[in-house]
Amino acid sequence: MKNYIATLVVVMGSCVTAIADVNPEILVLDNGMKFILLPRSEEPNSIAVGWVAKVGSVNERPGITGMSHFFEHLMFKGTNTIGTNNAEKDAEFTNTERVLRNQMLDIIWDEQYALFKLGEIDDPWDAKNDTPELSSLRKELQATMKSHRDVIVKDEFSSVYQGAGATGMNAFTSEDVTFYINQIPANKFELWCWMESDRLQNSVFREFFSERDVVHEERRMRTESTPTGVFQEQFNSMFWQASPYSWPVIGWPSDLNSYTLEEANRYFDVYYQPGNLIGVVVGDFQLQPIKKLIGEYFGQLEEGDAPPPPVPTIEPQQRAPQLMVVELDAQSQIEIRYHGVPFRHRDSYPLEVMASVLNGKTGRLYKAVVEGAEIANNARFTVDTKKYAGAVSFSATVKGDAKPEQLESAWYEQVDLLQNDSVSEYELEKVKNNIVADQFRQLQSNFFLMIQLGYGEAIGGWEAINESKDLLLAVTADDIKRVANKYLTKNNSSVALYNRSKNATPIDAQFEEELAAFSEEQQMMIKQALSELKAIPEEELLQTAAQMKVQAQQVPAEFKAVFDFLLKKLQERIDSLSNDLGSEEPAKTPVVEEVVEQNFVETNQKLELTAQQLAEATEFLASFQDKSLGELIQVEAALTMAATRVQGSDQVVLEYILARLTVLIAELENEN
Amino acid sequence: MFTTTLLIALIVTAPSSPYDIVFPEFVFTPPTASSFRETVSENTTVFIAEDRELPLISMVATFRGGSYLVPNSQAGLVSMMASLVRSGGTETMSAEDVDEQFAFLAANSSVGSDGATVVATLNSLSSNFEESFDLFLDMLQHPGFQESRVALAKDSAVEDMKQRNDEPSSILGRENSRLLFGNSYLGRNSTVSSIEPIDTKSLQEIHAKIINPSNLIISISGDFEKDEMLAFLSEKLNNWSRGDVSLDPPGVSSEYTPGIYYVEQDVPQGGVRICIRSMRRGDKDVAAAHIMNYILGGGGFSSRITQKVRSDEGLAYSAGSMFSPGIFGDGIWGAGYESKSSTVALAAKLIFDEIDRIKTILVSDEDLALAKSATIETLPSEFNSKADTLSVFVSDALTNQDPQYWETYRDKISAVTKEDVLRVANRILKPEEMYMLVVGNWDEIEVGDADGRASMEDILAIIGGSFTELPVLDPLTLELPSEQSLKTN
Repeated sequence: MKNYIATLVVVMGSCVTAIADVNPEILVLDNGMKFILLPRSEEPNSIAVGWVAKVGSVNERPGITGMSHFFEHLMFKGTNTIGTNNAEKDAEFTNTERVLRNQMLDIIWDEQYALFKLGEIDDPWDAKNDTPELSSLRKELQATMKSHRDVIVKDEFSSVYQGAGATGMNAFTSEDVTFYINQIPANKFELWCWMESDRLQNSVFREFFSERDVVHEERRMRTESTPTGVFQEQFNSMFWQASPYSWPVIGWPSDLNSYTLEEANRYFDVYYQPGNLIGVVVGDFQLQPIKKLIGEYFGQLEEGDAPPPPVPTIEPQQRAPQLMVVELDAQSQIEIRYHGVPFRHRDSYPLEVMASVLNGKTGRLYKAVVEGAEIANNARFTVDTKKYAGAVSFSATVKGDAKPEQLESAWYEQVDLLQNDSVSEYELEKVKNNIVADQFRQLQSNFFLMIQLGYGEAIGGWEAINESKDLLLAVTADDIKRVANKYLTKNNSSVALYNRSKNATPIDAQFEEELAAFSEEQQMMIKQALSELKAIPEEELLQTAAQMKVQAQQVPAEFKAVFDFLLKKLQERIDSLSNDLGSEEPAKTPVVEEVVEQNFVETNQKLELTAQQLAEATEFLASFQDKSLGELIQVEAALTMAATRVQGSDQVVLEYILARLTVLIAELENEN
Repeated sequence: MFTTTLLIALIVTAPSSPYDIVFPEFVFTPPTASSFRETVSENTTVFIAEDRELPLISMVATFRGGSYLVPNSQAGLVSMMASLVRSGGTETMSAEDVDEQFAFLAANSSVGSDGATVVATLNSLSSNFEESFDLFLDMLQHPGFQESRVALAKDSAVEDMKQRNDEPSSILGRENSRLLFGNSYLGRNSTVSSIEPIDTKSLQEIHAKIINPSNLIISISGDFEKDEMLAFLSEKLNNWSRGDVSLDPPGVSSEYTPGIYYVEQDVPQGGVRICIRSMRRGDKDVAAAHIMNYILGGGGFSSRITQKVRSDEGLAYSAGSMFSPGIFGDGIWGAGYESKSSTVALAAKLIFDEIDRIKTILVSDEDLALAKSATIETLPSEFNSKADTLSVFVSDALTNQDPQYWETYRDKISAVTKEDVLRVANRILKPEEMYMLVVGNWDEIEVGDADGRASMEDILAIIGGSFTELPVLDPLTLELPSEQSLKTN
């Protein structure tokens, strides 16, 4: 067993670079489409495949926000051979629908928007405000769409893949990219070539209008029916002053209503030309036959006329701090966001290492606000590097009756430490040990390796996957101090304070409920003791609490709960005082909680996972602990539709993972 | 030679349809549990597989026994014990030191529980696996349940409870479990009064009951030599004294009253579940029921419910159904979707139309063929990686799965006929025995869509029973908030 005993540090030096380097074959077709091919033997049953279009909401403009994401939906509607039993009729219907819709739009622009501006109607798009002419056009459009279904073969695109045993067919859109992914049986690579090259050449955007309603529902689900959704959208728009990152990927509702088929076709021609696309294949395959098939199928795509236009806007330097204060029906929370750097920027590496020093159960944030001051349930710092710009942010959810402002002060103390003192050798070494191990962990799944390679290539170069570990391992304490001083400044910050609205559980009722957990005799004791504690002068409170903590060790077991409860109440009083006074947080006995595992358990009870499934999911999720919001959203998006396709037990695991990811993302989004 | 090349080039032009592609042969034989199964240290089952590509070792220790072992008054005890095994230190090390050691070793470890088992995982570099394993084992065998961490875990549980009603989707999930499984271990949730009494003693008792080698199944894969690893595990586990074997979880039967239930929430979209209790895993109709459900709503975009509700009408972003045969108790068939308030009823109507259709009209050959081939062709993906494969076998061992199950899986699916699908649809899809649960703005939902295509009255006529408002329960006690009582319209 001697190979298990070798120390980590030795291994770090010798093995990492030798084994964890990823060396894919790069293939560029004459039409400009680039392929990243990585043969691996570990998962012999399937191949992970995908292609990325280098287009996302950052390429949009006001009026067509959300177009990239909408497009992603349209790309599953089929082609002139897939999805219809009569291509000619199908095209006629599509054209009739287009004409009707454009007639409707003319009326909406001219009449409905005018009435809306005058305050005569509340919504220019709502059918209840239709003029008679608009109403009859709407009915005609609906009737046409209904007849159209006769020549549509429903969701044939998906059925072909499903029948062939594909398990991961899906797509997702971010600010920077649109990514179409799949996991196919090892012998069916040609099917993928056929289907994907077909939809890149012969796509038909049928069911344009009903699909737009689907996106409206998606928006209602993701943004409008969650307690923080719309506020996060507003915060994001406040944060980005000029950058197109300011609008949501899913788009503003009015824009979503106004897309036209002509606009969609233009968009396709510009952004889905082969020179703007990257294919990625990871799995158990032979290079030569795969390259041949790629050439035969994707080589047919026609080269574009001109490359897509650049994204020229550079976010101007923020000149003053910004603040947003929200009242909402959810746990009070905070996000403090700063402008950061784009993908592969040299400062992104010290920022990442700084994040690792701050995050995790043994990181600084947890020790300071979760186990130390006990004012947060969780806290994290994330680094989000996008294609053209980036952001870093601190976010946390408050514990008990603590105020987001307390977390704000606690964060500024952490910033102070980062800006003035060097992080310790021990902290750096611990972080770097994990960087090494995580480099291996991220290679465990073909599917996620495929996504990482494609995403990285689309926003700055796949080589980042190899380069980053060396650059991360080279980060010094001075580097971290430097970036802390450069980015974590007041004028570069935007703060969002989320307060649970007043009509939520009143404190008194909460006290009564807490009390109800005790026997009558204990309740008497508690009330008696509390009235005594109340009499203690403010200046003696801390001392009393300290004494009680010592006593707590010797309390008989049956009174332990009572004692803890009293201590908690005392602490609450201390907290509220220090809060009112705006003074420093009192020092407390360090304690740690398992926020993540608690959540695991909660979610898990609802989803009925078996032990093994839970283990799988837990291990899978562990690899996302310190990922950025962008990365998590990619993963979530990838999994969301996969969940509707995978079979049996995997589905439960996926749903569970999704539920957990949603929590993680919600936490992160408070920062972003 | 040249003509041959030319001939091949001519033949190898792209097929005009994806259905015409001739694929290379790919023979998949499901792996068998016995080829991965070993026994170490008297009687502990280990599923083991070498996987040498990356210098990592991944291990899962699964213990029989879960929340069904404690009464409702202790709901939450088992999961808290599990999380405190990980976070509460050991008898000889403080919790803080254990955390630091794992972090410094870059080893990931977690302990959690579901209703039926407690699962501990360890993922570490192979180079320091022994150190990580020793820490992991010490934590499992001699948890410290450090007081400060117990207190914090309890606080944290209460903090989580406070957020129970923040998301409409979590209300939907909770109320659905309660409707399906009532106060059994599957339907209940922890409350302040079940968490507050937890102390070191109760934690130690439940720990001793579950976390002992009599309940243990190990799975391990990664960068090691198999015989060496087995010898290593044998030696390490040898001194761990055995205890009682946990009984299987009790079979829970689902005892709801059919009808329409709703929870009032001020959101623009209603979240919906439509459910009915269903058959158990050993039932002869399970394969047919899977195929039926695939066609009806389980087959993603190809399924009828998704097509009608999502792509035809644009009423929902996700809409579909699931069929889950019960392992120890009743199974469930259920449909779910979310839709704007005015079209909640319309979407339900479309689903009941589809239920009616699959019960009265034989499915097409194409639908049947697609469902069968999708189910059969995705079987290999269950066994993608070594870790996937082992996890299937551990799960099978815990649930006493038929050892021939995977070997005969494809034959059972292939044998399903159109008549089977119709018959099983009639057997399990009885609207009058279903319930519908809606979380959303009831006043807007009840009236239905502006065109009068469906209102909730229409849906009630299908299901029967009555409209019942379920109050938003107090998040800490899960009891009625004061001055509010259950009202029936």
